[in-house]
Amino acid sequence: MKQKWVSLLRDRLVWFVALGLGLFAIDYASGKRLESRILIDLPLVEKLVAQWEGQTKRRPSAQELDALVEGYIREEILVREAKRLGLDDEDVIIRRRLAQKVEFFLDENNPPELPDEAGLQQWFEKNRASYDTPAKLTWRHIYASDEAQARDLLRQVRNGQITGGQAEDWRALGQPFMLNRAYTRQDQLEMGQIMGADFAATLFDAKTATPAKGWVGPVRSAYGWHLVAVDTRYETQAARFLTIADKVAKDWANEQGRLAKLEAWRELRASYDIELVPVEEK
Amino acid sequence: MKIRSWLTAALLVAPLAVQAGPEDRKALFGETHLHTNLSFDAFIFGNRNGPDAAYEFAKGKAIRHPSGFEMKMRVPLDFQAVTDHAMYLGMVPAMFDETTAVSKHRVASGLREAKTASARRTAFGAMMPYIGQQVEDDLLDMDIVRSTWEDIKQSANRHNDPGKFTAMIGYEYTSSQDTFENLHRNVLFRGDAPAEPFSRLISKNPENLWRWMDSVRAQGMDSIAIPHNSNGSDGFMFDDVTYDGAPIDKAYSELRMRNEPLVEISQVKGTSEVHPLQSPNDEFAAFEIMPYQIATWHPSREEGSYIRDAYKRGLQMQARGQGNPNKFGLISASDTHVSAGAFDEYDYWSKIGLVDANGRLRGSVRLSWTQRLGAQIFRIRNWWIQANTIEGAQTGNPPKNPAPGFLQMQWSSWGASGLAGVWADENTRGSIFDAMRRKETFGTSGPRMRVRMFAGYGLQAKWLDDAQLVKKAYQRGVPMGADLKARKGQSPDFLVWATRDPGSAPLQRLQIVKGWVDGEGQSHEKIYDVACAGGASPDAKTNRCPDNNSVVDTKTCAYSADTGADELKAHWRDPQSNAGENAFYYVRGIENPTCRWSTWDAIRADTMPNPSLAKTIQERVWSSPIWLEH
Repeated sequence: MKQKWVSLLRDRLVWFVALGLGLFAIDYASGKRLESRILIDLPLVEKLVAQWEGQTKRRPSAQELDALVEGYIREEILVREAKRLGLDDEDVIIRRRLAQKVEFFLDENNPPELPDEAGLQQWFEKNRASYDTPAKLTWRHIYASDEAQARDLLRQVRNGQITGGQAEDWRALGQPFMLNRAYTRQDQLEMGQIMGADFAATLFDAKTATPAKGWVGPVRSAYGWHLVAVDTRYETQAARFLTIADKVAKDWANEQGRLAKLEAWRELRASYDIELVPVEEK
Repeated sequence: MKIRSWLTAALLVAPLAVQAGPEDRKALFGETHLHTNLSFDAFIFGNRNGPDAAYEFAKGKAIRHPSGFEMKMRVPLDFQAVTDHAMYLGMVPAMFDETTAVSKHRVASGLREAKTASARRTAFGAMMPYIGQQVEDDLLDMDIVRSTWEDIKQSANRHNDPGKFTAMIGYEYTSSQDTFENLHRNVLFRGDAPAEPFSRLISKNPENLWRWMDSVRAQGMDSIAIPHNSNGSDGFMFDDVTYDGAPIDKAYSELRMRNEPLVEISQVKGTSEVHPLQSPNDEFAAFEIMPYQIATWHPSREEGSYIRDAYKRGLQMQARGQGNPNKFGLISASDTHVSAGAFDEYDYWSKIGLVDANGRLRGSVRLSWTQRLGAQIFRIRNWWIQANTIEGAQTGNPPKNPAPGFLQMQWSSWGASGLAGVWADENTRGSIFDAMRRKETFGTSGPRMRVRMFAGYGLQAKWLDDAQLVKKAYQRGVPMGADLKARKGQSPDFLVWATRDPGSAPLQRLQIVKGWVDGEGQSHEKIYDVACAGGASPDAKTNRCPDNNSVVDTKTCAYSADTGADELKAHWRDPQSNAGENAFYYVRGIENPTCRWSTWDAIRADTMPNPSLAKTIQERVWSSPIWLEH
């Protein structure tokens, strides 16, 4: 039996395998050491010292230098532990920062050459709605905090009981209102922000109020009920290309940049498979 | 004769233009306290939006938060002032620009090269001694400060559009007592401003700021200063003595009032109206209280830190012949550091960029189990935030966290506030500034409520339904911010009036807060509900409105739609006005309850709200007081 072991030891193949295993073990062990190794070299220490000097305007003492290095070691260990726990992966800010960096690359497209004027004008025609000046109203109102009172006022106004003759008589009607009693050249968005979107939509509906109709209503706002008179209606004004050509060119370039980014994003998106995991029915 | 008939004709032709009086004043909403990337701290918190972006935001455009999402106003503002920190103005962006000389400084390279959050914290810490004037300064480059200041002025001039949008020139004077007892104030200019702002690096004593403002005014450049966060001043903002500890005299009171007609009552870092310990009988006093000194965990003394108390002390000092250094009006602002104020509870981004960008960082959303495990492993409370944020000057110890699993930071006690309101003749720099000077201003905790108050003798209740209400009130009385001369044996009448924000909850009640000093020099206060939702009347004994039964579902944030008022109006006569007693009166208008931002955060993250934070809020508006003077 013993002789068999001896002969095994003499076998070169066995030695070869044993040596291989040994090397593997050493490699394994040292690999693990590398993972838990923190290198403190001269450039690092110089950097720590420079930061210290920045704060204190003097060189650190030997004791302070030790504390600096120990502080760095502590931070490095905590960061590595955080990574080992996968905390960086869960961290919203780190994820967002990484995503932002790639977004930034997507932004970096070379601007395409501007088309000639005819081409630009064609693009303008296609998008002209966004250059038009929106419709606007110059209007007045009489305020009442409840609907019945508003209807009563409307009846009086329509019967000509309170027109007086003085142009500003209407201002004495109804209840006091903290915002304006009259607005000039106001578009629908602005009116909606002040009086509520429904109110603005009603007034901009040409069927409700026109300069010819005089006082109409009552219309409900965020504050109560109003009799409304539209004095002037400014229809949507078509934009003229020649007067805003520079702005159109700028918008065109921005739009191309946006499209290029969208295209780059689509390609990126297409290279991934998105799997939706179905929710199990209970 | 000929001239007279010509004048009459002119009057008839242009009645409106000639007759425009104070009754035509409009409530304009604005922002008077905002930081861009040119403030040293804002840049470090990740803000890269400059003054132009801040003005675009105010006009209604969307701009980006440092962490990537879009910020946009529900309704654009009428006016705004960019108010960056004067000390080290523009210096941090310059430190990041490697073509400047200052970028070669050790502190600059430290800031630039800091890659991790904690390294950034260290680098920011390295800069603090320079800003606090504790080290010999070779970091400050005044050429950069002056050219940045010029850029800010030019940006304001570019965006100023008289009649439509007003951009005012301003900056923040960021002073303090020896440690962190906040004495910050914003300086706003009526028109143009001098070539260099007066900063704490020149003097930390606010009296020297006021003297500088006096001297600049003598050169034709008028300005006012608006203190803020008196709540975090540890009692120093409205102290009974001067900065150097000397007794207050008439000259000091006049110097202060000439330069500081307004105070910020509410902003993101809490509300400074009143502390519940000072006014135990005020059921609405515990509102958005931020109890720390700014940028620390040190508790801030209540005495001398809150406005109602300051008004009372002011009257007492006046009675002692020292003048009244606390006769200021009220305004609110956001103090955002991301170039964009967050005014709505349901659309809140706090103020310091990457540091408080989401619910977990703000303590409104529970941390995930790995984040909690991290804190256990390293036995460091708030470990996750220390590993993730870059806030620099945090001193003192955080209180023991009452809600395990949630972070507790100072910004957990912050909120979506506040908005400035002024009653101005027109939307121009001059008109808005003049309204501020006469204290015809109000502040809100974020929503766009409007409030008016008039006081006088013989103001009548029936005017409340008269379309000429405002005209009559101006003719016979004085508006908010003014003095009313007392009449012997008569009690003053008040007309108060508030309207809701169409984009927020309806109003619940209107209150008049009165404070006065008696013959013995003792100060008193009393709160009267004067108008109640649903047409109810206040109880004659308690002076309180009955409950209007409005509720909020904190799981969906839906609130009662059928209770509350679109507007509230009242005539009120002081039942207890005694001869010889000086008093102040201001209006507090209170909304029905809605969800607070922290509840919105939790709902969106699908977690429970932090039990240590208020779940609901009753937004409010405060008018400047009227002072009864004997």
